[in-house]
Amino acid sequence: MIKTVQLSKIYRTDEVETTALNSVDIEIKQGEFVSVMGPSGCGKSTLLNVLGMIDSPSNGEYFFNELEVGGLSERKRSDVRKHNLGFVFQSFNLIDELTVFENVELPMLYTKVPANERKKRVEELLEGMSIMHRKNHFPQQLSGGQQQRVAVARAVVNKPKLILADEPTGNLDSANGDEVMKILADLNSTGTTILMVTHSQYCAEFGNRIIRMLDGTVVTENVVKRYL
Amino acid sequence: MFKNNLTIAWRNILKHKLQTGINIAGLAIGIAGCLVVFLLSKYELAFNEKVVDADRIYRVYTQYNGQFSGVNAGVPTGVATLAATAVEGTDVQCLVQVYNTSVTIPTGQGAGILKRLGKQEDIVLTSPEFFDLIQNYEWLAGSPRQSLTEPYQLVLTERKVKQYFGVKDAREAIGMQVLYQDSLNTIVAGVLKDPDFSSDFHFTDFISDKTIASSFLKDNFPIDEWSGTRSADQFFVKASQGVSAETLTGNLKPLNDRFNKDNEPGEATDEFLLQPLADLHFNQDLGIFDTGRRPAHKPTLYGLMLIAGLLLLIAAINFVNLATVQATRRSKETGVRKVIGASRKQIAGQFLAETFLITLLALPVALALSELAMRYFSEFLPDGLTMSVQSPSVLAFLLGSVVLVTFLAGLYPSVVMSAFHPAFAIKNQSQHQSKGVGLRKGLIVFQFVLAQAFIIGSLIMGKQLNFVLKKDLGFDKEAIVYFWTDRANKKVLQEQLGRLPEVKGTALQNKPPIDRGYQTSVLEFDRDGEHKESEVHFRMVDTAYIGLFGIELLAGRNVLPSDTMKEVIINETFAKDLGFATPDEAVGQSVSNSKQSFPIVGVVKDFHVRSLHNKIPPLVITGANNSAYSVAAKISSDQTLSASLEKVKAVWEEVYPGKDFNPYFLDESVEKLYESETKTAKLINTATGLAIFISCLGLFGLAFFTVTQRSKEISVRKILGASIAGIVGLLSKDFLKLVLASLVLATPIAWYFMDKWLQDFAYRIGIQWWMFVVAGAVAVAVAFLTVSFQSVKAALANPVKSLRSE
Repeated sequence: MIKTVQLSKIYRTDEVETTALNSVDIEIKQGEFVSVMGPSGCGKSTLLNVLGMIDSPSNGEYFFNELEVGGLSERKRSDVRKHNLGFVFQSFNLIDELTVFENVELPMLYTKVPANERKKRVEELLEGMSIMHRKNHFPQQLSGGQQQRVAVARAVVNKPKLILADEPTGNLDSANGDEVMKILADLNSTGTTILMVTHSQYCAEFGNRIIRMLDGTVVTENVVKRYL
Repeated sequence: MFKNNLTIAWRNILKHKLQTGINIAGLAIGIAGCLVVFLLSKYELAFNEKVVDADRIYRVYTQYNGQFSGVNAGVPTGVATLAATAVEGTDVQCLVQVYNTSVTIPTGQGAGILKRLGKQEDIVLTSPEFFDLIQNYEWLAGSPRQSLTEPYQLVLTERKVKQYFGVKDAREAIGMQVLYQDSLNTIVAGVLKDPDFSSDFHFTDFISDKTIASSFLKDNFPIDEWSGTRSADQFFVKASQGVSAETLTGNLKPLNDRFNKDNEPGEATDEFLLQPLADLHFNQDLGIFDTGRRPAHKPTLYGLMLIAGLLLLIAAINFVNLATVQATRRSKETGVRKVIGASRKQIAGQFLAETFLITLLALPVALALSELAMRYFSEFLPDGLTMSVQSPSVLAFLLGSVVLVTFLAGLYPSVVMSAFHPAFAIKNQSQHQSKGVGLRKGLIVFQFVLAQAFIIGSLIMGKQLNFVLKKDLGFDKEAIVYFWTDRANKKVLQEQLGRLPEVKGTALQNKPPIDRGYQTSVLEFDRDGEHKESEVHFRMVDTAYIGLFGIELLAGRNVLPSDTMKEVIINETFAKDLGFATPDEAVGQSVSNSKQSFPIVGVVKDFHVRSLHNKIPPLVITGANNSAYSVAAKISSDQTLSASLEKVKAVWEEVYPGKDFNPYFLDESVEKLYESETKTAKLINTATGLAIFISCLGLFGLAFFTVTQRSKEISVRKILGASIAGIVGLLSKDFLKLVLASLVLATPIAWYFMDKWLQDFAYRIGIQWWMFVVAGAVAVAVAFLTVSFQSVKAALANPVKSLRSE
């Protein structure tokens, strides 16, 4: 599903040049749950952004479903993104001015799903995440765990092939963190590919493979023990 | 999608009340200003537009060339007679003679009087051709060929019929009598529907021009006359199809030849020219008809459009500034939307939807403000100007302004925000920070350049108006009242007024010392073989005039009592013009006209005879009781003015029973000379206030956001020991620098325009450096107050709070 060849990302300001990704070669197959680990500043989030097509690589190639997407225009990347990818962030990134229902509905507005279909899908998801009773609340009125469940619901509402999660449990207590990880694992079990950045070994092991990074390069790739 | 955009826009509007309030207030003021100016411009520019064949209708006017060049909207009546046979290329020719006079409605039985209406305007003497010229009229009774061809026939509009006779059906008026000037007995022969087209042809009473020859009117309305030109006699033509204005002007040659027939060799020739109907409502030199209505001033209209546009621009700048400063706060939202699939277009659309909604909310406020503005500026606005929200043009204007403002104010912020890079935006890192700051500073400077230019402008206008109104004019203008009389009984009025203890003195005059109008003539002077001709202003007065007005005699004596001009007093300027080194030198010399010589018996100190726009001209004061139709009286200050005036009125009514009592106060007449400047000053003062207000609203909003953004910095500084004054200074300094920078830019702009404005006055104040300092100080003070409200709040806040929230 994903293949990168010598993928690099360099950030330049007037005085400083920072290499965030340095010739990264990785491959992720359909249905995998891959965790990315590494110390702060090692390039995990940059990798996620580039693979999530919200940032473009400086060098190298990035194939998504065998289509080279690294060099696409912003408009085309946005098109590929909205039909194929879902995002979950550490800080949830829900839109404060929209209700739970509207937040989850939003991606479908951009993919032009008809209104009744939107309503059906949102309600099914909120039901499944046990937050249906809060559908008319605003994000600030929810707990962290609830917000992240809404964020996950929003990420999957367009039935993406790949979910990119950037420390999805980073702002949650362990009980809520567990719940979110279970949801992701369930999604993976139904065929959704997941790429997750995390600091937590515990969370990483929900996946079937762990990629470890340091200074912008991939240092090791291990299959999680239980899959050995 | 659109609903989602509006929902989020609405929630944002509610959430950020300060920003919304600032934007709505500013935009509402801007839109209201534009709406009022739009209504006014539309009203004025639509004049005569709907007249049938408007593009073929011209007024023929007189152009004097040579030493005494000038124009007169009228023509000698001989023009109409000669043109009928000598001027080709016209479909219609028509002489319109304005005849403003008193109207009396007899009962129709014996000598009974139903109504006395006093002097009425919009009465004309004309021929049936008038209705070929202006074809828009609808006839309720009669027709041009039946109703205006015989002497004493009269055509009235429906409104006048109702006013004169009070009948329900205007057609009933046919055959009824109307008396003009007490004794011109006319019979209603036609009734017109009130005109529903906007034009300068406000006429309501059309008297058949055949009446002139068979009535006493022939004394005042000479037929086929070439020696005099009155602005009340106006000649209109309708060019034939395909005949251009140039061709038609050429066709007027026989008229020019006749007019210049008696010219001396080498003398400049006067000529008749064509004024297109479209120019009639706007030409300040020619005026409209010989009535109280004054032409609209196109430069004023354009000036108003500019001011209204600038106010709207200042408000739009607030919008842009507040939106861009908030971009950081909104960047996360934008980033999220992009990540989950929104295109740039969709993001931009969302911000435009927000701007649209705010502009829409500003509309009702703008409409309410327009109503207020139209009341406040009612003296500026023509009587017929009204606002109706249902009218298609107002609706179209409002729709247009919403669209324009949405793009003007919303486009830049939406482009900036939609360009955010999602990977950064989602972390609340805007990449346009530095560019945004530069733009914001530029826009603030632009706003304050305008605001300060307005401050300087109103300061200078105020000083100049104060100067012209307070300047010693060289005569006494306090407590002097004057009346226009007819020739009869003016001496009786003067004598009886003189007997009142409330009256300190009286005089006969053709004009008070200062007046809007003027009367000039050419006088000649010969000395040492040198011949000199001067155009001289005249005051034809009695012996009491100089004393009554306190005019200072520098040499010689007062004029002796006389009915006609026999000797003259001249002013200092004339004495200098004639080459006398001292006033005494002039006394004993003579000036002359073509018929007679007049000894100079005295020289008076210069006084102003016209507004301070004009230099003091050469002037002659002469004893000529026959030409002095006005009586002036100085009222004693022993009693209240109103009590004294009551006594004066009683005398007037005794001398002129049944005639309207119209006293003019000299000090008010002086103020009236500067009516248009006073109005302009009022307008500029309002514009200044609004410009400062809107700019400060914006500054207030920006200060609020800056303080919020820098709260962590402020806290750290406080913990490290910064004083409150230090923090207030730190936060205010940046804004004040911008205000000062804008003073530098505003100074030359304001100087240029105000210098131009002052050039219109022959006597004017100098533009002083301190005026710019005052303007700068006012702007800095207002800006400092605005910003310090926020910065003091920030400086007093508990630093721990903001650090904890970080």
